[in-house]
Amino acid sequence: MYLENLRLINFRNYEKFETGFSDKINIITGNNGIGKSSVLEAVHYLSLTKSFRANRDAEAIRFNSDHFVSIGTFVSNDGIRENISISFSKDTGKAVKSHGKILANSRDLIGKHPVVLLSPEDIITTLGSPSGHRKFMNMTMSQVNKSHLSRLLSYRGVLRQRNSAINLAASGGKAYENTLDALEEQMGELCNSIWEDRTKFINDILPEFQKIFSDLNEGKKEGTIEYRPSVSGTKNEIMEELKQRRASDFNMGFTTRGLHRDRLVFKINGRTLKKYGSKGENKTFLIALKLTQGKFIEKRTGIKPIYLLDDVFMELDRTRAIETIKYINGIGQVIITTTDYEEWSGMIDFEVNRIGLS
Amino acid sequence: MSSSSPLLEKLVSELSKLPGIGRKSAMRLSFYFLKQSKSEVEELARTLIEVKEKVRECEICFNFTESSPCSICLSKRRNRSIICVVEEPTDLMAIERSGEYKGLYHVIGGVISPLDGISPEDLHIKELFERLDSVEEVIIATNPSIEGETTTLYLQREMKQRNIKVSRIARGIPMGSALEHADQVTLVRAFEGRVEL
Ligand SMILES: Nc1ncnc2c1ncn2[C@@H]1O[C@H](COP(=O)(O)OP(=O)(O)O)[C@@H](O)[C@H]1O
Ligand SMILES: [Mg+2]
Ligand SMILES: [Zn+2]
Repeated sequence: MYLENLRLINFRNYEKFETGFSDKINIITGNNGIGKSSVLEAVHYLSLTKSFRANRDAEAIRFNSDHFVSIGTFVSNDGIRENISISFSKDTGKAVKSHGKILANSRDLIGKHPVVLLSPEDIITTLGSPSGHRKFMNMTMSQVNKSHLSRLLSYRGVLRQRNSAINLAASGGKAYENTLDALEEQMGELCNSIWEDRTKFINDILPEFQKIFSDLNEGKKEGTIEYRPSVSGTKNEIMEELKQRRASDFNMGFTTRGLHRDRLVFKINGRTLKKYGSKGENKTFLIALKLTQGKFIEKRTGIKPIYLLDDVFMELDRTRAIETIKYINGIGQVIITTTDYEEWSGMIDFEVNRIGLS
Repeated sequence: MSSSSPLLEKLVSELSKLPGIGRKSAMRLSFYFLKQSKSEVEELARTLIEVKEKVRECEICFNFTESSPCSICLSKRRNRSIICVVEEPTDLMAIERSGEYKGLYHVIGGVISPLDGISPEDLHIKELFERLDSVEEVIIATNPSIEGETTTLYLQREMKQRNIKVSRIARGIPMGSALEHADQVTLVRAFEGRVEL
């Protein structure tokens, strides 16, 4: 699967923009602030119906405009073209269209044209915080399993209800004990199934990750990922644990256990990345993690995702840059941004499609 | 649009307070009334006031009725040992339209939702418990939402404590869609496939 072309209207700094892509390596070059990341952002919209950097869709609307449109044509493995458009208007909100027809449920699009995104912010957002760890797992698993996404959304709803119930109960309001039982029964079921999914996911990706990480480091370093669930076990065991925590949750004012508190631990040569990792090590870890994500999606769905690599060579030494380039040649469609084409174009011995912005 | 008639403007603003009616639809409706004959509009206005005066909640099942207890609660032809619990009168009407169910009803008037400050005490659940003496089975037919699920699980526990057989309609109804919009075939199947809790 690949993206054949992209057209933007009033998206970020672009009033109008149009470009084609090759189904292999594309390199977007240009100075800082020219709009490279914005192009990747627009592609991300076409895949996941949302931005990777804006909290609100309105941020991506060009200053002094009232709506944006991002349109692209995806080509499937069998050569079938699908025209997708995402528009957002300040008045009428978001519209997701396939072949010009509005999709009633934009969730239907998720997983159809999967992407793997690597941006400079990922060092902090993906590696650096438990919420980033969960987001990484959620995004990956949701792109290969529809039920995973709907269970996550259900959990979010039940969690909000439980947080609200414990606050009402703690403030001496109405009797919410039995309501909490009913909520924890739902949480128990969801936590159990997502704990199983996540355990399996990490086990599945670990060998691939270790291989890629080792390759990027010429076999000199070993990376691992450990899953640290907040709750685990059967539905009933988790229900019981949540019930046990009620008193302390009343004090804290929120639900302190559950799949919304899961995290990952990343290690290089047995030492935690967070405490001991250098900038370069973080970057290499991240590249290996994202490449693994892509391989996982490909294995599960039979679809090669589009790799969006934003400023991927920043903070990377020459050896690791060369290893990364070797790896991405042939993995599918890749869209890379860089300010410094000359710096590493010499390392490439295959054909690329260069998109120069100015 | 700012209209040259303050009265028309008032009508539009009243209509747009209705659920599901935005300003555009409110304007369309207002123009429609203007084009109708005076007698047609009077009929509508009279019906609105009459409904407000005469329709109230059944003292037993909390369905809408003109005389309480309602005709379903008084009917001799219905199976009085089964009660179907629904959220709102519209759900009851949808189930009645399917013609599949012949027992009694109980409208609890919403769902348990701590986020909205709605606890079991805020619903007609206590009144349901008071009806259970001659009842053998309770069927729960809440909507497939998180709050509907919470309410079902809550009622299930309460019924088990009271040794009442409790079942729920099958989840042929997709999560997130409303009972009142389900087609009749789906509803009939959902009733046939109800599962004991
Ligand atoms: N909503 C917007 N409207 C117009 N310009 C914007 C908007 N948001 C960001 N910009 C500008 O767009 C430019 C391109 O940003 P970006 O795509 O991040 O550039 P690059 O990745 O090439 O460094 C920046 O100069 C930024 O100030
Ligand atoms: Mg950038
Ligand atoms: Zn009645």
